[in-house]
Amino acid sequence: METTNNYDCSHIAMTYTGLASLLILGDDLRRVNKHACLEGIKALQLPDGSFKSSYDGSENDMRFIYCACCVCTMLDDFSAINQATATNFIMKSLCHDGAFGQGPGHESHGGSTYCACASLQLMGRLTTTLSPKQLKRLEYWCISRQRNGFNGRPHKDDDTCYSFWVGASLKILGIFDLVDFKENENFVLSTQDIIVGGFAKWPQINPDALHSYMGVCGLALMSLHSLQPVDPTLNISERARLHMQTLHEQWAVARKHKEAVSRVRTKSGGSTLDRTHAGTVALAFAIGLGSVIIPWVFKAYFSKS
Amino acid sequence: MSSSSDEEEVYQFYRDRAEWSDVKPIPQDDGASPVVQIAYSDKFKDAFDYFRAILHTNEKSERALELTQTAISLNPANYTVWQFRRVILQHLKKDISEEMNYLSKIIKEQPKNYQVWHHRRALVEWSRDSSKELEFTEKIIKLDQKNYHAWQHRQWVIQEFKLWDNELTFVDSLLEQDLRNNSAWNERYFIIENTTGFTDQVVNSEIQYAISKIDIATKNESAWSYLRGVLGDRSLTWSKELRDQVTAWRNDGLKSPYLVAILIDFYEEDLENKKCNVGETLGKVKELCNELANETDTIRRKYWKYVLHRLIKEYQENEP
Repeated sequence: METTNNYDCSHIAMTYTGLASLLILGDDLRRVNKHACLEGIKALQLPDGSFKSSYDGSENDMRFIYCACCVCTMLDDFSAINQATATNFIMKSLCHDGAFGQGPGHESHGGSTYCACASLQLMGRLTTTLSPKQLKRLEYWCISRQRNGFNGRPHKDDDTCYSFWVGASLKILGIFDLVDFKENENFVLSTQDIIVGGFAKWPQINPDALHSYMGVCGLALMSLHSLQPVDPTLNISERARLHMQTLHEQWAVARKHKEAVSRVRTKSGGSTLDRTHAGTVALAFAIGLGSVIIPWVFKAYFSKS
Repeated sequence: MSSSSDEEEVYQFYRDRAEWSDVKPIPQDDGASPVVQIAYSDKFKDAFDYFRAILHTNEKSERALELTQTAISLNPANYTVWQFRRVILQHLKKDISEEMNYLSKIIKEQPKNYQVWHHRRALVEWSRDSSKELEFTEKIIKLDQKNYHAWQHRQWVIQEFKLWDNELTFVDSLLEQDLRNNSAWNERYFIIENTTGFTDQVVNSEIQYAISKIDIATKNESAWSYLRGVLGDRSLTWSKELRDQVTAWRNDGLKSPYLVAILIDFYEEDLENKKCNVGETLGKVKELCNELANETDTIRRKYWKYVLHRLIKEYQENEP
């Protein structure tokens, strides 16, 4: 039954989490249409440098710049996005108190600060875009978010997820080791549900998947409880990030080989179609011959009859 | 037999509604091996099976509009439903103010949902009618003084329709209720930045404003951040009054960690501008960092040790 519709389009956060999930599962991304994926991301960038989440229209803010940077990182291709305008939007969102809001003029917040720091880091522009003075103010704002655990804005309550959002920002800034690990750990564990497990935003309220994930990541940043290390920029485990790196190395080799082949073509001048065709025929013959000879050898020498 | 006034409206599944009998519902296709499947209720499945059907045929009718309302009540975060509802509203040329009344009720129930606020912005963009927006966002802010979506929408409306006039008064009233409302402090900065701008005169008066608020609550991070923030690219020492005030507070025995932090920054500027005796200044910085690390801001003791070490490394080791 035909069930398509005109509103079946991608969502940038799902693209990010979909690719991240594939990497976590050890997939080689061979079945991902990378070109289409990147064109889709490109289509979501707005003139002010920020991104909306889907083609039909949505709000636009720091979250989706982060998603775009992650997708480009995972597919090892930043050509689809305008990094200059994205960086411009990020910097316009720098607040008077030294951290980042969701957009220009908006209040600085742990979540948007993470998205801004991680995006700049993924684009390789963190220390070239922020001045030493700006970096110092940002460090101070982030480290000031710790009361026991972390909050997301001054004078708000601690919330488990900020142990990741702010913790990871501090990791990116290189000063996570300055955090009071014990107080942070105690807070996160205090939000653990003693009956069903999992973590909640605050102690004694119902746990949920998001805060459980963030609680685990918040603890993993401190290398506690035998948790795997987590990459603070992509928000996946180090293991998954290394797998991604391996894929990128393989893609780089494949690209170099392709370029070499194309250089040979241009050099020879003649049709390489004949050359490759001849090669294919030779290979097919070798395989065919091998498929006859090898079983015969096996039968002749190892058969007990 | 109950009278009609006692009768409760019984919800009818779309599959049982005569007026929907021409539509073939489309079930959700989770593929051959679904993982972490959501346990949808029958009501949910029924409504969304029919929603998928109208999406497929692109039906933009009154009954389709009603169906989006049901879908929204079941999952107000489904952005596709909201998107299609906007398409239908435009197609049927529906009354925006009526839609706004409906939306306002939903926002009050779901004030932290992104989709409802985006829908509100879309409606205001279509109608170009901002007349209800300040009042509405004020209502939401009264329920939750720091609702990020409400503040975002409010800022957009103010900027788009140039409704700056009474905003400072609004901010002041919020700070009267809670001096530590960081959203209100941010709003103050936003208004001034976009109206008078931070001219030297304005910076001086805003420094006085922040000082007056710090006098009331000396450990108010928002007020201290605002104080630094209004200076912009100017150095701390640009304002003699600020330095004098900070020194006076310190002499009064004030131990607010934010006061001590700004003092350290003053000393850092002195070191940078080579306007002091290095050894003596670093000695003062050490005293302050130790006070923070050991007494007044112990959770950040490692940070304050790092700050001290950074300054010593930069200035003492480079002493000729």
